[in-house]
Amino acid sequence: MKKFKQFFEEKFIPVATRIANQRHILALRDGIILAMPLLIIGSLFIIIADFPVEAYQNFMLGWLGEGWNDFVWNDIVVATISLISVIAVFGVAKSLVDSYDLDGTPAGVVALASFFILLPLDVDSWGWNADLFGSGNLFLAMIVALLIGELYRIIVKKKLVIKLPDSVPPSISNSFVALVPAAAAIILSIIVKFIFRATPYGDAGSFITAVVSAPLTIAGTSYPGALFATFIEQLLWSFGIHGSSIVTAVMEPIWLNANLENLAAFQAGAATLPHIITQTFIENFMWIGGSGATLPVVAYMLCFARSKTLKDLGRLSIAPGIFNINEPVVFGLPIVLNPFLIIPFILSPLVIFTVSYAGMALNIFPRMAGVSIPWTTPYLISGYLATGGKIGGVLLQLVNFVIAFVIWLPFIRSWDKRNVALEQGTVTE
Amino acid sequence: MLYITLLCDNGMSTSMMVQRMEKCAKERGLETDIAAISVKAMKERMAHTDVLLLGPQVRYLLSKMKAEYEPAGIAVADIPPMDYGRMNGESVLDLALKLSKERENS
Repeated sequence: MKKFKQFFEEKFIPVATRIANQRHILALRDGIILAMPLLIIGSLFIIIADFPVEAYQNFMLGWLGEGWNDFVWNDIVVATISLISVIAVFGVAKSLVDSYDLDGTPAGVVALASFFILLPLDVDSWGWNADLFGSGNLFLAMIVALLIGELYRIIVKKKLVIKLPDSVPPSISNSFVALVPAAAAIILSIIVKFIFRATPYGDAGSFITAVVSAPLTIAGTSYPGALFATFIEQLLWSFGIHGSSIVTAVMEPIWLNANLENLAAFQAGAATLPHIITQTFIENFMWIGGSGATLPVVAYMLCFARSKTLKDLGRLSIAPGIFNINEPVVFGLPIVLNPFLIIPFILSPLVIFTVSYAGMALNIFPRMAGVSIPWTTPYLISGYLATGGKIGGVLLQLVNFVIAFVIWLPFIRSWDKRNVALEQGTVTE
Repeated sequence: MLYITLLCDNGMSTSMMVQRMEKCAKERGLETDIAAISVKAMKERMAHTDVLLLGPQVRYLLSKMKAEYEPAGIAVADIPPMDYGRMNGESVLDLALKLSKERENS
């Protein structure tokens, strides 16, 4: 164990940290976060429109008439959730350039223009198909943002910009800084557009979808792929490192995209939604009271613990636990660097992951409808909302809770006994 | 006035810690300004920080934060995991006071 710990702290953690702090990965995460308020509010309206209670639907129908909820899909969703790629291209390029201590806003605007150049315009109707702004082009948006962000940074840092005499006020000369990078980005985008037009793909977005996003999505939402990510997350937490932050930094683009693809299918009324593993699957179903499924542990400490330490910790952890924050349990019990409690901490998420996956694959339990729910939404409520208002989602969460409780029970019970003995002074550490 | 800044991934669990530390500081009649912020917001808070404490879950950033903020005269340390988990405001406040004293002496 000691050797393993040493290897882990000297080799594994620095690598994981470097990946999670990698400038481009951080830019992707921070840029996409910009769209989160819109995703959540858009989702809220979908839930209001499609709330699956017959009496409510009948009431609204009688009151407002047929098609009363069309405004949600036709007016709100198109302007919130379905704008994700447009927001991401701006946000990611801005975050990336900001991270070089330059002003990122002009770079965001330049990336936005480049992205629109690459989108195919329907010349007959003189318009872009609104679907192009949605999740289908999220990967294209991210790639354009990173490339344009880098191009912008290199040009500005190499001082290949238009310089005005010192007598010109800085606010005016600053507005000229972006001219050369903007010209370079737009020329480059036009060339790329024409190159793709000559290929069978027709446009850059279709190429990226086929070559990049489809394979990445398949790998990241597959059972082994996502199970491995969950294992790494737990392993990092076991050593006291914020595993969720590190793993979601890498996986978020894939899992969010899967969520949005499910939403598109949900909207189209598909009988089976395409993905089982999505962002809400991980954040709202695996994290029962925080990663490691620790809410059952808090419940045990609150109801059954006999040692003072665990009783106190239970009282301290229940309020944050309801909102899926579990640092008090992870560091206070402690689970961190505690080989005995690390076993259920790693095991329970892997088991409930497997059960949930199987349950959804066999269509016993409903899949994620693709609406975005904040990860701090209390358990059971989140299960109902994330599945688009299905009781099955709540049932699965209950099943998961019981499974996690059973896995944790022997461990937490004997940990409680040990603490009782410590408090009575019959044993020493 | 002693400015203490607590850092974690998005400033959620550290905000519980802030409440406990503020309560202790009040009981002792100390003048403090304690805030919990995310890693990203640190640059803006820099001018208002004497002591910077890292939550154990972002302990891996310790050397980076030290390199970045110690030259500016900010004392940087990580919070011991058990004190953090059990939300022991008393001892984390003591840690901050000790660091600020060391900083003044050096």
